[in-house]
Amino acid sequence: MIRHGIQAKALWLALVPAAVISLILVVWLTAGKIADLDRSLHERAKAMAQTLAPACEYGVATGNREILNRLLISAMNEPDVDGVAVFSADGQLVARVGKANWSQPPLAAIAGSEIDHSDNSASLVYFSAIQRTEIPVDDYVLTGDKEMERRDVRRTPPVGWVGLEFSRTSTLLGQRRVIEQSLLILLTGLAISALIGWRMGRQITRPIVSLSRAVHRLGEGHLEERVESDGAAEFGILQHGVNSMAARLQSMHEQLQERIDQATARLAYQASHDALTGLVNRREFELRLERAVNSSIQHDRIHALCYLDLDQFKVINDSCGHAAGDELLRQLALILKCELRDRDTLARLGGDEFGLLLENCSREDALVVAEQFRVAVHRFRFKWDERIFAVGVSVGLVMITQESGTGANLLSAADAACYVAKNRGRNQIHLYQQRDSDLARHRGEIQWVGRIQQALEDDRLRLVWQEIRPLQAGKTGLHVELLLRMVDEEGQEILPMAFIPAAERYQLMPVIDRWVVDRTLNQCAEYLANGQREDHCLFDINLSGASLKDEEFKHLLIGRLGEAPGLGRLLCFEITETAAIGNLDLANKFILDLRRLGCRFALDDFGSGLSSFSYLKNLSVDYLKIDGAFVRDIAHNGVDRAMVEAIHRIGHEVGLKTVAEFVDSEQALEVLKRIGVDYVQGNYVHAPQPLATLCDRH
Amino acid sequence: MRTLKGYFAKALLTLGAAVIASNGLAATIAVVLSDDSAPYQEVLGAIQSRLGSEHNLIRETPDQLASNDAALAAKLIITVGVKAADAAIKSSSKTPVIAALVPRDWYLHNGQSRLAADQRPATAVFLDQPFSRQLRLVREALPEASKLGVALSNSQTWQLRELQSQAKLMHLSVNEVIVGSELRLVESLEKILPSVDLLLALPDAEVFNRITAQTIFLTTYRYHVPVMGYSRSLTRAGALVSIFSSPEQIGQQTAEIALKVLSNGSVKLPPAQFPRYYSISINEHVARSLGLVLPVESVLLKRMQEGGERD
Repeated sequence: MIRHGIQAKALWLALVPAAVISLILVVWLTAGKIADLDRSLHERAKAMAQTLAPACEYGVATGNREILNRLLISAMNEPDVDGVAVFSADGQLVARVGKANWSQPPLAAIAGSEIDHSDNSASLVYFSAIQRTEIPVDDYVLTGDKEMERRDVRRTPPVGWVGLEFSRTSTLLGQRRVIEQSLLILLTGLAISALIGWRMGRQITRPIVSLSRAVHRLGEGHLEERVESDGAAEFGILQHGVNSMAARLQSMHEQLQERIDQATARLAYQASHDALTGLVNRREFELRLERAVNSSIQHDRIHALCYLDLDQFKVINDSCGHAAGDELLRQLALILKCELRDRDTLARLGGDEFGLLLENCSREDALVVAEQFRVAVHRFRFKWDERIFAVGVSVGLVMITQESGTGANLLSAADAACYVAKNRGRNQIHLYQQRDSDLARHRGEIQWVGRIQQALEDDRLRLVWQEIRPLQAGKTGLHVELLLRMVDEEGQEILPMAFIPAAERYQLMPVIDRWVVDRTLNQCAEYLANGQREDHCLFDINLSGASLKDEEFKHLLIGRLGEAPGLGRLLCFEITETAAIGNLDLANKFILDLRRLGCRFALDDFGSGLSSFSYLKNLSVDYLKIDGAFVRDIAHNGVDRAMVEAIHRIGHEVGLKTVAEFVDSEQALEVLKRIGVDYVQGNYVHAPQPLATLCDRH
Repeated sequence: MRTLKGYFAKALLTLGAAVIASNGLAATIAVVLSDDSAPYQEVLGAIQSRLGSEHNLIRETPDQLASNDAALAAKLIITVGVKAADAAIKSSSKTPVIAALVPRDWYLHNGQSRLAADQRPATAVFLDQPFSRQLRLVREALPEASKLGVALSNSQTWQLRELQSQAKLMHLSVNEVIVGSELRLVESLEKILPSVDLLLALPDAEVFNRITAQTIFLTTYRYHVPVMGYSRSLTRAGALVSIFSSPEQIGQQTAEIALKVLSNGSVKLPPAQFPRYYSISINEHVARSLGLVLPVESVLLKRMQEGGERD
């Protein structure tokens, strides 16, 4: 592009002035030459006519046509002569030779002149007067009138005329040849100019082209590209400038590349390592596990995979805060790293779970290593705020062989083995065995997850209601608990204790809670629409610990209740002691925010967990629901009865209404009446019914 | 102009000389030239050289002659050329006149009678050469030629008889043709040219003039016939040989007549006469072209003079 641009300009520069000047010169010279040729023809014709005229004088004077013809034939031999003719003084044709077509000569027009011509594009005709030649014959001028007249004989009319027709053909040919030669010279000159211009243009463009090629290459990223520095003056400076610029660019680019490499390495490390402990993360661990699986398949190697889950970590995390949990994990990671062999991989898989990949390790060695880890954790004491905690670890071990399946399968198997170890009393190692009964249950739990999700999609969750009946007289209105049911694929109702543990373990509770709250609010709206007063009914619904901590869920709930202000007074949220103390501050904030909208709260299943009475002071609840395990055998078991009496008394002391669950016999009801419990709930009092019947009842 | 002044001064001098010599033989002679051209001046020069020392010469132009009493009262008037002779005729003086350099035809048929009208004594020196002299030249120059051709206009036929009688004496025959008009000139010439050995040109202006000369010469060449002319100009124009008198020779003859007349005391003029002195000119180119060999001019002239002059 550049090349063509500059070269074309150089060509124009060389050609245009040369073309203009030479064109003008050629036109001028050619025109001159053409005029010369024409003039020369005229002169020749005139001269010939003037020569021929006196020669014809005698022939005309004597009327001798023979003489004339001879003269005319000799004139015809001259080049370009087309025809010759002689006319008498009165214009009559006397003799003619040649092909010319003679008409009467224009005597009137040429009278008085000795020569005249007419001109046209094809021919040139000259007429010359034939004058008498005067020769003095007397030695003396004889005087007298007659002689005086004779003296002026020049005035005598001509005796005749000679006509000469000249063909212009050869003149025109000559003129054409002149034009052709001129054009040839012009074109040759222009071609030479163009050649010189082109060569000069190339001399200029060559360094420019090499520069532009280098710049183009640099632009494409070939920073090692350099221009050959052979130019002088401006081009030399330019080439040097481009080269030093390229060198600067290259060095800057290399520095930048180094930094990028470092950052990439850091990112790669961060992508494959856990930030807290510095151990390999789950993703990297899975990659290494896949490699190990492949090596065992291809090379028949045997590796071992351990799944480690800390015992009591949740307690430390909940009671001392996340900072304590994090510090514990950091310290433990340091200790465990010391136990590692060179080719072993220890990874933090999430929370308090660790993975350990022992490559080229037999089952016996793997068990020894796993035991070393277990003992190391067991010996470890964690100190936080003057308190000392002991932790344990449950280890699931699975061997990687040619038949052991994919990495995902292996992780799942190790997780299951770890679950078994936990179930068997924690702080122990369980080696994964096919057809393990504990594993079967675990597998069942996994299956529940899919079933719950499917039920949510197919809208197969249902709510039933069960009355919470006041034992004391004078209570009016209706107080019910809304309970969750799942309808399976065959239409059978499934109780929540079958699928809630799985839902809790696999983080499905928030979804379920939203579904329940949504349905309950619709129900309340319908209930109010049926003309019931809001203080005549109270709907209890269960909230999971996960939802309690979910700010988004809280805002959604507050938003819904804000839209319908009356609904808040109809709701009572049942929360478990475990869920509440998981994050006491968040739980209390949730309770306070919703109480402002008229909602009430009940502490559910009290007595089954840690049952720390101190929490009763810290949690702002209205009802205390005594765990059904104490109520079920209250009629026959004195301990249970004493427990219920104690809980009831303390509840009343902190100003709470007490509710006894699982009341399924008259004897139990009687005992509870005697104790003075405020409300009872159970299949004996009221068996749960589909929600539709609640509206029908009123 | 300067020349005129010179002549005027000369005339004054001669006038002065005439006054001084009035008691002796010196006489006043008026000379009238037809014009100032070179031939007339040569004639005048020849007259002056012979008369000027003894006589008074008054030079006058033809136009001024009638008003110049001195000239008219002169002893003798010499006119040179036809125009001057005419002026003398018109002056009506009785002074004797010598009319030099006039065509014989003019003098015989016009001038002579008019000059004599006022009882004025007059004589003439002709321009023409006598036929006998011309025919003798034919004999000397071209001894083989026996048949002469001559072309004349109607006005000149009176000369024919004389010519033929002269020719007969010389054993020559003459073939004449009368040229009616100029247009028929060549045609007329062609009638005689095939049968003649020589064409004799006579001073007939209607036949021989500036215009016809070339045609006549070309025609004669075509017939291989030489022309004998009457002037040096004709020789130059293409005549083989010419016989003529130069201005000097005419002047000499005129001066001799004047001297003779004045010396007699009584004015008695001789008759009109042909030129006494003559010259011959040969065109060598023409001679070569026609394949003729002629004696050189001086030899020819000598033979002519030795042969005797009877005029």
